[in-house]
Amino acid sequence: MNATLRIHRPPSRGGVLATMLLVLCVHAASSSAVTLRAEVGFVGHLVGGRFAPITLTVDGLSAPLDGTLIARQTAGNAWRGTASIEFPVHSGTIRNGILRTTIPIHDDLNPIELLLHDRSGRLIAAATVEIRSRRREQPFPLYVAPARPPAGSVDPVIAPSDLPADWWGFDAVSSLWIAGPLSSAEWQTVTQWALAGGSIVVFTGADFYRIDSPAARRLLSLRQSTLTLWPDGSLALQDGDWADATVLMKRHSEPLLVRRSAGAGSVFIVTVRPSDLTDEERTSLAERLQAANIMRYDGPTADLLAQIPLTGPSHAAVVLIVVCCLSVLGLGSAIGRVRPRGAVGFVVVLSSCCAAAAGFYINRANVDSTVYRMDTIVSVQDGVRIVLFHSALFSTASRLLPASPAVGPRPLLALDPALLSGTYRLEARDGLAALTVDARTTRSLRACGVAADVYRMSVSDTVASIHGPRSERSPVMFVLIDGVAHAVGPWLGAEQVVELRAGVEIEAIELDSAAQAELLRSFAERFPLHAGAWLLVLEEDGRLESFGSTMMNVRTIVLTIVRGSGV
Amino acid sequence: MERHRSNWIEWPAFQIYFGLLLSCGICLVLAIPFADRVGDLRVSSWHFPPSAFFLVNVFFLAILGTHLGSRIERLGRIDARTGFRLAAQVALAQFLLTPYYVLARAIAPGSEGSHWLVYTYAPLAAYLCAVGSARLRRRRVLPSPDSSPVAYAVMLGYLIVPILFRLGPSWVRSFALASPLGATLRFLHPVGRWDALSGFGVVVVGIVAALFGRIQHSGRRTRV
Repeated sequence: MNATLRIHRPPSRGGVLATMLLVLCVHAASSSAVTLRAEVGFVGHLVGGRFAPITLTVDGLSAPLDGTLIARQTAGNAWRGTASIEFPVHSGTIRNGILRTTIPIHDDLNPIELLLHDRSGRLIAAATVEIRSRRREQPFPLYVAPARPPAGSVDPVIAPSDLPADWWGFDAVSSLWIAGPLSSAEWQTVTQWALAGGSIVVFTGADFYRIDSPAARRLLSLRQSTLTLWPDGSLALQDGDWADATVLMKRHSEPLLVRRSAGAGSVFIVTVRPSDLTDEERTSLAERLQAANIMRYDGPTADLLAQIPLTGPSHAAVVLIVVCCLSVLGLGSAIGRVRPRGAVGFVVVLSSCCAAAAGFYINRANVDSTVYRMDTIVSVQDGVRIVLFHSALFSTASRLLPASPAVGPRPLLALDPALLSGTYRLEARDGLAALTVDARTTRSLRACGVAADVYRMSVSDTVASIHGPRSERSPVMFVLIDGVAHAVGPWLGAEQVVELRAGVEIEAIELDSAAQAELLRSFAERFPLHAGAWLLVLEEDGRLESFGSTMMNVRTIVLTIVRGSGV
Repeated sequence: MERHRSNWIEWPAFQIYFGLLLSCGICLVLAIPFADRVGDLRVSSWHFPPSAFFLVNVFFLAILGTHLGSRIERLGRIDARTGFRLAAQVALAQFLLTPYYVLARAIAPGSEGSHWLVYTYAPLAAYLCAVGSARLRRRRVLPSPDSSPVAYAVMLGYLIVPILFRLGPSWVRSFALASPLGATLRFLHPVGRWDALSGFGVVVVGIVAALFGRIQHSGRRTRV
């Protein structure tokens, strides 16, 4: 009985309070000890208005934290005007350790503030990263050890393990110099960047066997690689007669520097190791390099946005309503001379009719659609996969607008040199970017990613077999064999076989819309569609997306390029 | 002549009604962009402000109110029933603009709340002008029927002078809400609860003050 009484005795208040206090103290102590350290760019080197890798070190967490790591930056200054930028660097479970990702740098003069919040929004830790000390005006060469820059150069050298995990992390790099082995994932990232327009220099020679891997051979497009001993004692890589390559420099009448296309980019193969190059050859090599030039579609996207028809009432309809109202007034006045009370009723009834007619017309004219957005998505699959997103927005009124879900939470917003002329704010809500658009101005965003493996194509001498998903957009497809386009019939999804009989030159392709032709033309200017087998898929749709009380007129063009296999 | 006098709308008032409808209609037409594509709108430097429609509405309705107020006083009918009739005439004028307000969604979508706020506010301000001008006549500030230009001058002062507070420091800018034009401009932007209450409050207090004095005066006159 006594034991029962003891069991049901309430705990002492003092004990409960002491326990709570202890828990709070421990929690506070653990929270206050959390530290954030960050390095942005390559050994701090970065370029404003481009993406840059960020390496974050989180330390002091007593347990994995479900929270959000936010980067905040105020771009511009009091003279130029300011832009408020805020986006999540990471969201989800955060643990002690190193976190690598890629962020947009909107201004390379102002510091970036990093804030770690838990799920309830409580600030756990904060850090400020100064980025101006090693900012660069132009893209710069990046050397991956053991590659080294010339003496006196300030260009950064990084370890292979410090290479960014995302291919767009190289956005500020003009050329990437590799002289040692990389992991398969690192080769893949480098290859993705080359596909998008990057410029890569790979030293081989006596070190080739250390570098050699299937991923490296894919990037270098090697077929019959052998090492040759030159009269000066250096070992040089040779690849048959270097088919599909341009020899830029020679030594002993043998290729010393060879250029091969890799998508929209270039791979420069130096057939000897770095230490076997003379100073003159090194200087000459640097002069012959082609700087990286990532495919961009800001211009075409803005042009396509400009071509979107405006929605809204016509002037004729509004004039008609005005004339009707004036007529009602005139008739009412005339009737009022005979029957004053009846005239008022007449005016009320007919005005109501005019208002109802105006309402029906306005609903039909979609006047709520005062926001226009153009999205272009270019996706390339060639062993590795990349995707480039560009989005342009236009609004007739100033407002905060959601960006396309495709650009993700960390897009790069194009900022005008003078920010005083408008309100610039970029923030992420629920994983989606939102930005301010001033009345009658255009805002542009760009983002990069890794494409999903959507379509596949295998080609024989006479037929091409295409595999892919069903699409609601009714895609237009062509099979390109060495620059000759073969139209694919209406795509029904799953699988389709195309006979490769008569085709037309790629320049003679007839597309459904000028927008598609414009995007394809821009792409073909940079990408070697004239060589090899490619599947070209164009999808376009226009739709209305609701946004609060207004509607957004959205047009999307997706260009997918897939390299065929089996040729 | 008798039939003409009994008409619900007399010729001078008809001109103001007509001017109100025509001016607002022109503003509405001009506020709709003269462009077919987004690109045309982007490069077009000429842009008619959508707020002009609402300002013209408030301005012409205030003129109409002033005219109606001075006319009713001239006829000598100054009881409560006349006050209601005055209100009905102003309200009818605003009702004629209802189709325009429906179309106004096209010039500033998403601001319908502000539009309907102005739609309600404009006749109240006009009614204040009406009872105000009537009171001026009754108090012999305007000694003769031909002196109505003074009433219009007072009305213009009421519309315009408080707006000048917008040019002053931030703490005096709220006084611009005393002007119907200033209040309208304020309503058309994202408006706070207190701004709306202040704008309407000024007009309602003015109407009550003017009406109370007017009817009381009328009562004394009747007793005499």
